[in-house]
Amino acid sequence: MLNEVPSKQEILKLIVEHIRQILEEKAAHDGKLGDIGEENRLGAELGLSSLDLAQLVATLEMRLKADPFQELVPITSVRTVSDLVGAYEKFFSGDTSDGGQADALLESKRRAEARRNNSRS
Amino acid sequence: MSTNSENRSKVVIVSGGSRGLGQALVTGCLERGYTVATFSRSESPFVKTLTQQDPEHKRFLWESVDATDPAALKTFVNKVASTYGRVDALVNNAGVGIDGILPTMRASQIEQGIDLNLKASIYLIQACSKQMLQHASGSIINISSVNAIRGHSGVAVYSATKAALDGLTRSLARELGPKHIRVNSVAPGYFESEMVADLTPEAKQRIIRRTPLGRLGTAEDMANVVLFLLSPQASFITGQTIVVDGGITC
Repeated sequence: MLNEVPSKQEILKLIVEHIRQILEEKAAHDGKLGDIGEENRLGAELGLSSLDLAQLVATLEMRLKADPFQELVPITSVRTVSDLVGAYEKFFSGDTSDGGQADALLESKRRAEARRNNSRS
Repeated sequence: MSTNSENRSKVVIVSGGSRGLGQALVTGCLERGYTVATFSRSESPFVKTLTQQDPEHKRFLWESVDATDPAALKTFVNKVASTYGRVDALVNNAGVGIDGILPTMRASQIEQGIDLNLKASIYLIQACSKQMLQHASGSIINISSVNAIRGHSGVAVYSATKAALDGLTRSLARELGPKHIRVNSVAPGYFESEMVADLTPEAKQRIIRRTPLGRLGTAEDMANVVLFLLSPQASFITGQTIVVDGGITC
């Protein structure tokens, strides 16, 4: 495990290291492995599947003792290496805001409830 | 990526390992040299004896865990991983019988049955699969029931939870297969256990008459199939429900 609150550079280094490891395991089947940068898209450019991402997050949870995706950040919002780094930064910053997603969810629930009530009447 | 061919003891989590089939599973795993971690609500004489024989938890660990508490399940799995370094296999055995005609069943009984038989299994798999993903290997076995295969009056909710486990098994086998994690179900038929203890001798005889192999099963009959699925001999089997019922559903 890293320091109590790892820096952005430490998080990035760890993420790149584990992405590389996962891709190397797949390389025997999928081909060559290039450089990995913050701007890289996890799926479209690096070729990580959703299961590869789950493997990465599981490993990072053990290494960083952090899982930002249980409540703080929806995993579906993570597209790039930078998004992933940002999720862990957010976790360690103690920022519990979600950019309005909880409000959106609440509003969606309200609409669903209204639809149910309308269909009963 | 590491494999199970390493010369070390495989770490197996068995839920509900204090009595009945769970006890047979724990015993079988220990006999095969596996390291076993199990939990139940309360300690049984069986668990107490094993803990006394292995006070430092070198190859056996038991804890009291409320299976309806997802956080407690995750904490238990993480403790097993930190104690033994990894989790190789999970046997989702804990569960309750949910008897009664649905129209008159209490909502609390339905909730408790679904919580224990289905939700607890899902949360336990979630926690264990995270451990298995790190090593890209593992085996998960869900204990289902013949009630998931055939309809039986008076066990509708129980059947629903067990059939759900079989569906979970098939989809997870596809989901986790690419990371070399196998997922299977074992569906026991009638076997000598608390489950059949309330049956009248006549009812037991009726079951035996309808069973092609002419007897009730034993917990060991069930455990043997689970142990096979855990073994390297089953390394190409995933997404299957194996019915162990002496042929009563065939």
